[in-house]
Amino acid sequence: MGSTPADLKRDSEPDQDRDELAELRALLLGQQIVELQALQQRLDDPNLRADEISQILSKAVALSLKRDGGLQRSFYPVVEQALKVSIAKNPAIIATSLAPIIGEAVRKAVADAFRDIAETINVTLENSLSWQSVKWRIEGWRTGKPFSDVVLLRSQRYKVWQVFLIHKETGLMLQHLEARGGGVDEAELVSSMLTAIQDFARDVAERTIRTSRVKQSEDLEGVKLGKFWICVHHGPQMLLAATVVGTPPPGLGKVFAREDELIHREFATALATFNGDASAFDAARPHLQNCLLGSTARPQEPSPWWLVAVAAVLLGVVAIDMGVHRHNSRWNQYLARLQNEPGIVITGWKNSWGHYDVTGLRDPLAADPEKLAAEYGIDPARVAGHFQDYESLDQRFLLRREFENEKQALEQLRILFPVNSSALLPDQSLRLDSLEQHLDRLQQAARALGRKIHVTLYGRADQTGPESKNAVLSKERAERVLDALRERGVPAEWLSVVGLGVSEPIRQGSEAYTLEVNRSVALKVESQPQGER
Amino acid sequence: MALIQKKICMLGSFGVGKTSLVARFVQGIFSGKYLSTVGVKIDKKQMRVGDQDVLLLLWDLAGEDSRSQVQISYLKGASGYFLVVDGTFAESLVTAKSIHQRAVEAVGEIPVMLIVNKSDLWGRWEITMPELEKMQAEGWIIQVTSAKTGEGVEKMFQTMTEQVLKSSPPSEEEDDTEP
Repeated sequence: MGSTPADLKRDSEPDQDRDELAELRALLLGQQIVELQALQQRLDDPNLRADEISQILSKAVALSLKRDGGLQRSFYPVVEQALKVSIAKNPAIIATSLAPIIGEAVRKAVADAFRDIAETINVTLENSLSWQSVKWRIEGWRTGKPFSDVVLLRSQRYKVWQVFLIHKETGLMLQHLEARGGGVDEAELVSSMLTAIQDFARDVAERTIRTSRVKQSEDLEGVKLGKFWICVHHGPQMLLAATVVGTPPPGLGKVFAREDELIHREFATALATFNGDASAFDAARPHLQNCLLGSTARPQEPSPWWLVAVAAVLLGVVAIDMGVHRHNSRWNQYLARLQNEPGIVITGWKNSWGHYDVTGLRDPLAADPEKLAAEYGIDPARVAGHFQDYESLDQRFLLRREFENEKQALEQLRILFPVNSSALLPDQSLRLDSLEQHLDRLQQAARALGRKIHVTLYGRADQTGPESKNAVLSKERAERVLDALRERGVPAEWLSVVGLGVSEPIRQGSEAYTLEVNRSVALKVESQPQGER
Repeated sequence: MALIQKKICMLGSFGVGKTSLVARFVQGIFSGKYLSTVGVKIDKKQMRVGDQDVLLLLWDLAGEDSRSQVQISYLKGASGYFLVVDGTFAESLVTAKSIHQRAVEAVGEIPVMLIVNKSDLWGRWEITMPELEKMQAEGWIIQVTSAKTGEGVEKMFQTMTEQVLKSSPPSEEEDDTEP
């Protein structure tokens, strides 16, 4: 077979053909070739690919989840493994993240457990049948409440009356609320004093622990005072204290704990920068409101001065902790009262077979320990007081002593008169001066004691004249003295006169001295608290 | 501006007149018996500095004597304290300085004022003026008072309030809590 000239030409010029082909291709597919090269680069460069995937991954995951959830199953072991590695490497990170929710989580678990128990009880109760349970069941059916809630509500009568939110370090009051909606009188003082008593109780407990083998010291969480409870929840930076009338149910503490935790969380910034301005905690009131729980059945409302009384009794309770007598609270209260009573100093006491011996010092003006015993419900016959007399320097006693001295001096003074006359002799004016001075001092002492005085002037006559004359004469003598005192500036309303005639002679007899003493005016002082008529 | 509360303590020897110093000038509901039992009695006094109202919660701590020391733990959280001495009793100044030392160890440097009480008994003073002037030169803020006549008492509370506000001014922010 022979070659044509055209064939020859093709064989001899292959390079030239390729160039032409490339040129043709460029002419026909120029744009596509550039695009193909860019595509090639996207596939080859891992950085570029990662960037692109990152933009669509979230959408892809969302689509996959919507479709069949296969992705979750694929991720499951990866996430689990990652968590394990993370915890092994630095457990603090996960612990810090969980801390804010763990309290709630634990509480929820506990609450669930309690609900289970409550339901079990509920079933038991529902199976029981008594008149009360029938009533409660009707109430539950009527109000739509679970039977167990009605039982809790009706069988536990209590009410949270006041709640205080207190800054732990400074004892300053952050917020307070009362069930009736108003504020608490002197809440700032009460808050501070509560903190002080807390500190004191802790100090005492720590001291006791050092000297004996009492169990580990803890914060004071609650004190019972007759009908009252003071419940205290201790948070890291705040105290939540509440006064409760009746018996607080066990669940109440959990409510306080929850609200306290929420307030700590919400007000972390305000707490960190707390500078004495409690208005930053106004928004915590709803949390306190949540603590004002209690049944609608009305327990007796406390008197406005309850807190002062409560604090006083609390003091007694804490003082008991100081460690001498732990039994018989009445006896301890009585002792505390004696110890605090002005003019009484207790140096020792003992209790044997229900009889008490108290030794100490007592000002004769001080309260009678036996009468006080009766006030505390202690049989006075069981208390033997061995007190030695002493003079207390207590201001009240000094005043009373002064009052008594002046009164005695006044009552010993007598203004004397001549026979058959009501004229004041010049030699009696010194006595009148003295009378006036004693009266003035008596009045000052009485005012300091919060008392007012009244002085009766008793005029007398000797037994020599006729009786009708003596009656008139004796009254005139008293009136003369009254006039003289009035002239010296003594207010007339303090004074009154009585003419005794010869009915109550100072001395009996007929010798000259006796007759002289009976021709006189003497005084009697009465006093009563100011304001009484 | 909102009322702010500040805890202030009164420290000093037994019998220098701490309690009488506050008794006539403050408002309280608790009896003095707390002092001998719990060791503290709390009263309050409202002051005003500029346009700032300040409620001082005055913790009157039981006095120190040879048998018992002031319970420094009650100072915790205080914004300032008064050291009260009796002008007629030189030893009370020695005690005050010792209490001051313990207080600084416990709560650090917070505003403190030396109150020299019983100015009504001036003629019987044992603490001398040069001594007080020397302390003043060392930086002590000193106020002479008389619980009996009332001299210097308002002034001591006013100065303390100013000192406390100076050392920790109230924050300007209206409300920095989260909703």
